[in-house]
Amino acid sequence: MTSNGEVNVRRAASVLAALMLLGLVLAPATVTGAMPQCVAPSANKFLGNGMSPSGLKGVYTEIERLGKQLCTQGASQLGSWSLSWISLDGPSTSSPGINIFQGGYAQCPPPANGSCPYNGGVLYFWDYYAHEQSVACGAAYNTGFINYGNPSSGYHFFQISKVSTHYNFYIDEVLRDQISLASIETCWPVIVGGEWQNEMLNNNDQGGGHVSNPQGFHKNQYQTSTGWHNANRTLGSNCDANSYPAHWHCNSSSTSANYFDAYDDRVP
Amino acid sequence: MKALLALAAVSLAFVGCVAGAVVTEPPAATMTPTTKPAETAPARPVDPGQELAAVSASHPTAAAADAMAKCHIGDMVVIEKVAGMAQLPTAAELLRYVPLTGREPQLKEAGPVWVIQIKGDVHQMGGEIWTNPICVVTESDFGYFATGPVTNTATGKTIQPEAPAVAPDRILPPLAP
Repeated sequence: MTSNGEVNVRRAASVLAALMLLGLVLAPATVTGAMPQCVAPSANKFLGNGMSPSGLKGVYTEIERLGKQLCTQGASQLGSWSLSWISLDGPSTSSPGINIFQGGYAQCPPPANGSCPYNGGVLYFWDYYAHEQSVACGAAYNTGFINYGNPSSGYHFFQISKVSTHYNFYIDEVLRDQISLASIETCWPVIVGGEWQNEMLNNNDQGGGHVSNPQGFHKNQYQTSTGWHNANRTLGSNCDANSYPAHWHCNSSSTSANYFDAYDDRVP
Repeated sequence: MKALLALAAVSLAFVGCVAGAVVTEPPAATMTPTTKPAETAPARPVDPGQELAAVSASHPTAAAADAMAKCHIGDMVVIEKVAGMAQLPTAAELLRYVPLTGREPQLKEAGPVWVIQIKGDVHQMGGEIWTNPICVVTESDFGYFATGPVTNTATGKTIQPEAPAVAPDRILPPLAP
């Protein structure tokens, strides 16, 4: 993958103004200091896009490092996190576990919550590999979140791609992790799709970015045997996944087909 | 991420979502399970085995602390949830202590391994909660295995993992103070 050195901050004034106005008009419970209390049940929720091109073997994006707030815990701990990531996905069956290789940013609650590694409450870079329970590889397995440190402000580049004998995970074009071919091509054993997602566990976790600065996934691309291709979408279209449209919003750019933005209208 | 993979079906096989759709449930399973659920692992008589050194919770060795860090003990899983922990001389020895199937690639790795048995629930990517999982740290790998019940957070349905061919016959020591 070639380098996309420039940092693209796509915030057309007109789009922003529209989004801000939308937030003012539609947000019935604007939160300025903290997110609302966590609500049961917690379950994995998504805000983003996916693709399933033939021969997929890599994905790429550029995501801005934005602050993410989590739901406010009450008397009992409920699952909570706010993540932004890209992935290669294997098939999903009814067996325990999942088939995925993913990485991006994570904001996690304190350890008593048991959701994901806390990192002192600071947003961090991570990746994660998992396979389902299978005849080939036994029990469902995952590496857990592997922490690659705390990102500076601005955009960071994330890439997963097949290179020779491994599938590699890169942050800002620096190799951070390698998964053997067998881990994917034996344990999954095929790649069926790729994703560009924000993921939350609770409806009151912040979904994406802010009204004034949406969580951008820019220059989204995927790799096949014929090279890298833009992960284009219809201009201005809604994202594939939005688990909580009452407050979460996600749309493709009105000007760049391989961009999309996501935000939570409770976060100005 | 069953839900997510579900969602990944974007008109594709994964996300079951169309533009603007609300994604709240995982898709129906499209494949039959390839492995059997836990139920019938033949038991071995309990073997006292070799005496394994208990790990100090407050003053672990550097190697033990490294294993705890890789398994996110204290950062994601509170130490009170550690039911047992030890270093075993070989990865193959894991089968004597924890209910793996015997087909896990990590069992072929050389050198000693750390194993940490968790008591309780741990959230997972993919819309699952794993109850009583284990974490294994080899010289070249680390991660969690679903050796206990797995609950889908969207449906609330719980399934059991595949039973080992032969049930473990040894017990990991609990943490020492």
